[in-house]
Amino acid sequence: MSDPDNSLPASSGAREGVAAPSPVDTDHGVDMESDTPVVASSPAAPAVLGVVIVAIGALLIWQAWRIPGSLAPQGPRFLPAVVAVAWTLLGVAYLVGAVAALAGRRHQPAGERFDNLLRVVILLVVLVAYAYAIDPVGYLISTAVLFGLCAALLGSRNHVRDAVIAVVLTAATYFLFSRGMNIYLPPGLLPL
Amino acid sequence: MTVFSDLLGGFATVFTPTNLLLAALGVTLGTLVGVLPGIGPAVTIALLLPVTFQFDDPAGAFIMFAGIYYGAMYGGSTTSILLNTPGESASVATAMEGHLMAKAGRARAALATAAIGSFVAGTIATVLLTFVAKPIGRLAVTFTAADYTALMILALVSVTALVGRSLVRGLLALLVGVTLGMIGLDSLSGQARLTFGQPLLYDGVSEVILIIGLFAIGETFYVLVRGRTKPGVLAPLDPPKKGDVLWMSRQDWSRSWMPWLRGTAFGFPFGVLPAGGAEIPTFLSYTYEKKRSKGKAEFGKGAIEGVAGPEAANNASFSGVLVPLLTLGLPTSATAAVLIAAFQIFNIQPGPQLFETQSGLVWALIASLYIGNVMLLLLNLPLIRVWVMVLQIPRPVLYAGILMFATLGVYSVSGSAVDILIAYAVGLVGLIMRLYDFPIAPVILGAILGPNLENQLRRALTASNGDWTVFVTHPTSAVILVLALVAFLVPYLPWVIRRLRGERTQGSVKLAVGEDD
Repeated sequence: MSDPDNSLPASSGAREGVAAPSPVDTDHGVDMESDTPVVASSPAAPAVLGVVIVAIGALLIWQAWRIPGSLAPQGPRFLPAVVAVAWTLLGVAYLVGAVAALAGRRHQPAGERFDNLLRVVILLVVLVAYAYAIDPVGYLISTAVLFGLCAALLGSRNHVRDAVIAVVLTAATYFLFSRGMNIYLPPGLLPL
Repeated sequence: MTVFSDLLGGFATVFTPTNLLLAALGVTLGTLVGVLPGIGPAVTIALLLPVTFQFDDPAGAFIMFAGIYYGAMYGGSTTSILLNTPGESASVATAMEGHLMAKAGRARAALATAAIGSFVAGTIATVLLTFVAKPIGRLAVTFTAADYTALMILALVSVTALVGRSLVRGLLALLVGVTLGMIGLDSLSGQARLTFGQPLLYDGVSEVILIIGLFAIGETFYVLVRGRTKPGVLAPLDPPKKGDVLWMSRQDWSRSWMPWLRGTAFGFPFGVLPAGGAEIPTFLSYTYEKKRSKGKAEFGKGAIEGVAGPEAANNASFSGVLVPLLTLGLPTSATAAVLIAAFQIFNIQPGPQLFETQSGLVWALIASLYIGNVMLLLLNLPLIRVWVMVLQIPRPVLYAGILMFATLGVYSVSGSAVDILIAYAVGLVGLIMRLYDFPIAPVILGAILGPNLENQLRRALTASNGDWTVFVTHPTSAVILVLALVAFLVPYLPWVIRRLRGERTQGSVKLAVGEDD
């Protein structure tokens, strides 16, 4: 099964299906695909995440504050307040660890290398558009388009095949769910 | 009524042509989705939840679920062996020796020992469950709100402390879940909490959306970010050999049966205890079999014991997890948390009263666990070529399909496009957590147990007029809280021992067992 797929910039050597044992894989580590060349993320990224976590903690404290009533443990404010304070303290601990690592004084907290960030942003835009389109446009059309775009964003180049799969799969699930199982899916523009 | 007559009644419910068909369908669907790389049992069940919406009779739905449950687990081990991409941490141990066996041309033996081991362990564990469930249920009726509070604290602490590499990240993950679980109207006072004035959030975020968002959608984003869209290297399926019984030679059988039994012995107790599900027993079983072999077996080159033991432990612990789930209403793993969501779809609250109020249903469920195990054995090995075909689906198409079905699953819960947006947002949270090595399982447990914990805590404190000593003066809750403290400290024990021996310690202070589900 040779395949024109899998052409993300990051992915090298597309091997598919039944293949000979890999010559480099001597230790029995679990699939981490270490041969994928990736761009290292900024070492400051965990610190930025720490700031975000602390900021969310502040937001949670503010939200807990706004719940009316007393802070008694039997009331509705108690747990939100406890969670918000604990969150903020843990966020500070995480931030301190990340900043310490950034300053080179301590073990780096786990941060992953990643790339293809732009594709994720585009995918998110597509998904949000889908959520807005599903009711007015209908399940069939919007989902078929979603499938094709997702496959392309995930690196598929065989667009004709993807389009066929998209239409067949979407139609099959639509009729199975709406006719077979009586789960409402919006027909939208199509006269179904 | 005795256990036997209860169980016979359960079998009577299950043994209808329709229900047997449902069990077979469940096993097939569960394996089909479970085989998909990177998809563990929790996601499989969450994705297949909508399929059961049409059932009027919960018994049929649960019979199907039992099949899906076992199928999903077995599908995961197939992927681990052939592709070396475990969908969940409980399959990591299987992947280590199993994939080496497959590369050495012994894929069939590895798959068979996993399947038969799962069957043996699942059956023994279900027998144990049958006899243990009712007594524990009777005990559970006597539990007070303070005891329940302590139990939930124990479940949350042990999952958070025992899984993952960092306590700070584990606790933050837990709080993410508790916070998400708090969104909506407070169940006792009706106050809106964390809704930011949005009436759309008054009902809270459903567990199904959380699970699909965090696992299925989050995983797809992660695959894309990391550029893991090339297919894995599939190990070849060796031709069947003459003289083998069920794909295993006489020697394979004699080397497998003890690890199966030992794996079951590791798995079941860990499943019953709130100790984070199947991660720990599978690794214990792997380590034990490796130590026991003393270099005789080819550990590191594909030892059948290293597949037989952990797979049995995995399956036994999953049956064990059903004990606290059915008798106490206490989910102790992400998969159990999804099952709670499934129960709630049918307005059934697992817990001490379940054996009284829904006795027929519970015994039908337990009976269907036996049937599911048999179905698994009957269907999985003969259908291996189908699973291999599923593994060969090009990754972009596969993940596009996962996104599509994840969205469909979310939409079919509520028919609301807003929930789709929430699920994508949760998926983004899941992506960030994966990128920065936060465990995912505590989020799900926090979201499901958080609200229960709060209710029980408030009830306990109302009963005691706000007196906090109720948790330590009551013996049951005091003991459980001590256990929670122990679970909290256990991961640091090896470090402490090494320091006491005067050895210098390197690297991480905390013992890390696997990842999340």
